[in-house]
Amino acid sequence: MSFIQVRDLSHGYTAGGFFSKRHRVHVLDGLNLDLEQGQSLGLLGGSGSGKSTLARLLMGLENADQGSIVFNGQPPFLQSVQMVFQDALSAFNPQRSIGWSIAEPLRHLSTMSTESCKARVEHLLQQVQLEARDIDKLPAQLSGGQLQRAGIARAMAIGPQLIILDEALSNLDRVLQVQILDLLAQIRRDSGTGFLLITHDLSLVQRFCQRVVVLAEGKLVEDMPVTPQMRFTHPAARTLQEAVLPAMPRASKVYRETAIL
Amino acid sequence: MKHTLTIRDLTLKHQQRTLVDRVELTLKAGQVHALVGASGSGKSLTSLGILDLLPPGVHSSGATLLLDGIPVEAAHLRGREVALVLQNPRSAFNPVRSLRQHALETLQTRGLGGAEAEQLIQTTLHEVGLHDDQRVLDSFAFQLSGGMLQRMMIALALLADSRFLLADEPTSDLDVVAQARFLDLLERLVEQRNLGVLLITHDMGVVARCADRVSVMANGRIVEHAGVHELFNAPQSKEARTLLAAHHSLTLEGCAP
Repeated sequence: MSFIQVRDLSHGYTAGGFFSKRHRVHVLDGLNLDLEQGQSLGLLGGSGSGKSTLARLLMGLENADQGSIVFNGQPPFLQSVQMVFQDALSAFNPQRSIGWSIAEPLRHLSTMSTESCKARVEHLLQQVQLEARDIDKLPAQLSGGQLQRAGIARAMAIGPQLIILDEALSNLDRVLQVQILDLLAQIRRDSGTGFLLITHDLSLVQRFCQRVVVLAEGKLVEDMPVTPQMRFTHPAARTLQEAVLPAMPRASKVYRETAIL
Repeated sequence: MKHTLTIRDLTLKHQQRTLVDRVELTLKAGQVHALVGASGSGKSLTSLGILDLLPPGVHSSGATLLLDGIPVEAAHLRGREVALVLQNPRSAFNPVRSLRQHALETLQTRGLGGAEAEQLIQTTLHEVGLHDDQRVLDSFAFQLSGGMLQRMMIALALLADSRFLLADEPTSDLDVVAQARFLDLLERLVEQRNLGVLLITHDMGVVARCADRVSVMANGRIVEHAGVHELFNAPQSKEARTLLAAHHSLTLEGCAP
């Protein structure tokens, strides 16, 4: 029995209106997805393929035009699914401390007392390897990598069953990306939280996920377990796979260098 | 033909703090020279320092620029011999001017105008892969994607007939597919137009893909100069090893725990 069931999901937006004719843009078109509990799933897709739309629907931030999303037999609820956003700085209230922001889900979704909230935030900060004194800092006082960790702490606060990372690592450099993926793998092992990693970068999926799906033309065009030798067959998925940068420089560079010298 | 651009003794200070310390770089025509380092190591300031486009409060203390061994002023280089491509293309364009006006303005500095200019703009846009040239030229920066704007930046550099290109994290804001296309374009221009490129990046994948030589920067200093194969096979500095370790953990193992 899967933990999330997405059935025949279709969704779109109305575009234009002010200077141009209004028209409907179809983003998702009859999408089906089953998610296992505690699984880390990679959702790959090019720009504009509808990755973020799917995330918003899973979060319950929007209602789908057609189709259904069911979590353990119930509609989506913030207690069971939380999200980490791409732009960490704009995802935090600039006038409030990090500790206040991390405790926000606890204030709205739990009945914890102020003291136990504070203890929980301190524990969370420790889990994401931030320092206890960061609790009183403002978002602008943290670096991009630190702030993204705080975003993860906030998503973990209420103990959700699924955390959606919507391009949450794309703005960080490689060294930070690896550090945060290792941290997330640790959290997954410790707490059994499932993750949905939304990205256009296959190398992140290969590092972190157990299963990968590729979104193109409003549907899932690939669905397979992550292995070192996996090969996509759908053209849109092949494009993403071929765009991955090489691990080592090509041998032919040597010839070019010597030709110039 | 201009063949080398040498930067000697570039030191940048903010009040008493040294941000960039005696950086030396040589760019060669037909080669991609990568400048890598962690966030905050002074990579971007170096590129701005070369063209003397420093933010307020940052001062350069007497760097020497040599074009084929002859000393030159930064003001004579920028927008002419040397073009700059920035990370966030949207903020690099004037938001209230169409891209056609940007292109015409660039050609004006070379004394070109009229039908000749129109023709040159059209062929250059095709060269960088913007085939829908009239629509692009009539657009404003906010109406185009990041990948298209980065191509337009390159087109402007070609229109200015620049021999050297300073590219500061040109692909960090692009998705992997747009990134691959942009790097294809860059490699083609280096080969066909004999362009000399300084490519600033923190992604060793980009370096592996298209660099010939690499300088590694840390705390405002260049800590290692090497050929790209030398660097990947036998990195000397701690910073290079850190960058390569992160890169390889994402590319070589290639499997979830």
